[in-house]
Amino acid sequence: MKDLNSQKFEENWRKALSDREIDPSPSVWTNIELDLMQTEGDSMKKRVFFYQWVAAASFFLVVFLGGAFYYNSENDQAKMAAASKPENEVASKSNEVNSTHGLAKPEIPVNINPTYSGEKNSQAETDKKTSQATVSISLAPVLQKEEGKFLQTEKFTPFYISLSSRSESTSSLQLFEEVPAVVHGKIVLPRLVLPAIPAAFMNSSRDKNKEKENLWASVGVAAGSYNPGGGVSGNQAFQSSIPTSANSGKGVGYSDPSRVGTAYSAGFALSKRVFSRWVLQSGVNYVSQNVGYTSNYVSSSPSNQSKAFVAEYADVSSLAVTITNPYEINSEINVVSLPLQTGYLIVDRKIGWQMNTGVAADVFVRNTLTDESGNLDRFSQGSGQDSPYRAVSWAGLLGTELSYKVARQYRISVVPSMRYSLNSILKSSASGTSNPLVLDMGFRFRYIFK
Amino acid sequence: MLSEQELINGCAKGDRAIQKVFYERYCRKMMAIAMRYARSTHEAEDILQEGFIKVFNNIQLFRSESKLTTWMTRIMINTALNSHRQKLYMLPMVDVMELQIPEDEGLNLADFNLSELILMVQSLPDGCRVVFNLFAIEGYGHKEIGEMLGISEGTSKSQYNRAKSLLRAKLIQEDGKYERFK
Repeated sequence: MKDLNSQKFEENWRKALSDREIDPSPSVWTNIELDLMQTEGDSMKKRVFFYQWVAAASFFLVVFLGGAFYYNSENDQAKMAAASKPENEVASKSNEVNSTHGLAKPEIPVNINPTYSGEKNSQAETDKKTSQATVSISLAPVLQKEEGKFLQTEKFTPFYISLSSRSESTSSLQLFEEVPAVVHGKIVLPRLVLPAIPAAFMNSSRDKNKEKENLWASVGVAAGSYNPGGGVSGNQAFQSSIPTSANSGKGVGYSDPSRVGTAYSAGFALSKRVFSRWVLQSGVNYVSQNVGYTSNYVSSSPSNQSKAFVAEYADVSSLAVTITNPYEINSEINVVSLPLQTGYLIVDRKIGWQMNTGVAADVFVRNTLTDESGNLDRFSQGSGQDSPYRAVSWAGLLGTELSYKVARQYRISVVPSMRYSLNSILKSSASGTSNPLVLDMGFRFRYIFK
Repeated sequence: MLSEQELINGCAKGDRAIQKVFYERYCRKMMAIAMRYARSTHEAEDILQEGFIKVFNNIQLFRSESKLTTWMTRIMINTALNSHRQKLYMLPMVDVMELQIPEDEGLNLADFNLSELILMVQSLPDGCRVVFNLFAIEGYGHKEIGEMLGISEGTSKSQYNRAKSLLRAKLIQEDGKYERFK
């Protein structure tokens, strides 16, 4: 009876109060509207600020890559301009041979002995404030003394990237620490100092309702600068193996690569989102790396064909080599690169921004040496016993990808990136090392699977 | 006249004109709910405002599996509970002795106007008012209410009993009105 009475109480109140309507005051809608406008305004401000930040970051990245490319080009030109002096100067200091006929007289090897290193070092200290090139040369003999080994400083100019002018201006912007180093003929890259990404931009997307892109394929091309890194000039044994008759009084043999060449690549990539913001991507790229050489080596084949030749082949080639007047060579290295990268999606909206890092296995295809004057035959060598190049070498990859969704299943993107060889692309039996650095800008077209 | 789905789609796109139509269609129903949980009209309008902003910001999450008004009612109740939660924690939600309530009272509230009834409910202490609304009007069980408010089932029951007795007392006090139910 009590329960029934209680139920009736609740039923009465439910009937009395359920599904009733009461007019609120008109000010409620006004307040709601103001609140909604404020929320949208805040959201818009955040969005605008965010895109401004992305634009600024992209700008600085382009400036950085452009600056690095420009600096390398300038440095290369400076080196070429200075190249006419040093060998003769070196010769006159160490051997006290005064030659007024340049290449007509026999030249000494460019190796620098410890006595000379000390002299060069002290002179370099006085020159330190004039150019970074001088600083870099001055460091090498110090290392030589410590390790008790000789380095060919002309060949191992330390690699150096800086946006500063070559004079030591402390006010200039530098993205790398100024610690150039040459250790055992290997280039040690300076430490990269990157700005931190503000934590506010690492938030997950608020747009939870949007369609997720989980798998996509892309094709793309890229072009940029190529720095062969390291150097080779043929070892002593190779030098002495060249018969005097073949020398023809042309001096010591050498082949100098330019500091900066060009790199092109085209490829295909497949990317899979493995977590909400992490992407795993792989693919295949065909890469062409071109750099100019000044060489005075010429190889002769059994059929008496004279071919372009550089010192990289000194220890592996069975070809007869003679020394001639210096001439220009274009060296093209072709590799098939198999990258494996992880990407982090910083922005995952209509505009996308992704940071990528990973490694690539570079499968050597061939090296082609072309005499630019056309007088000599082309020299081409694939991988194998007669090649100084490793069949497979490893490269570290670092880059970013800015994309724009042009349609439901398509994106286009620009991909500034860097690749640096983690090990020398030359075999350990070859005289010297080469750790190429490529800074390039790529363009990709992406198809998103649904 | 726009259909319910058209209203939902328009609101999801942030169309202000459609949001206004949506508000005008449902605001009175929602205001009646807010009034029951609030202590005053002013407080009810605050709940209504906050509740509608939540509705507009989350309408893309609404699935047609439930009725739109049911979904909105839940949002209004949650908003009201959140606005009370601080007060509820501060209030001593202790068990109240079972009151002896006359069982022969056949209450019929049909002759009371809505504002009178609302005023009676609003005059209840916060804890009693919330439990009364959740149990008597919304139909939640005491166990659910206990979980929602972070109180024991027994406390919910005793708060409800207290609400009941207070409401009866209110009706008795209103002699003239009470006479109408005799």
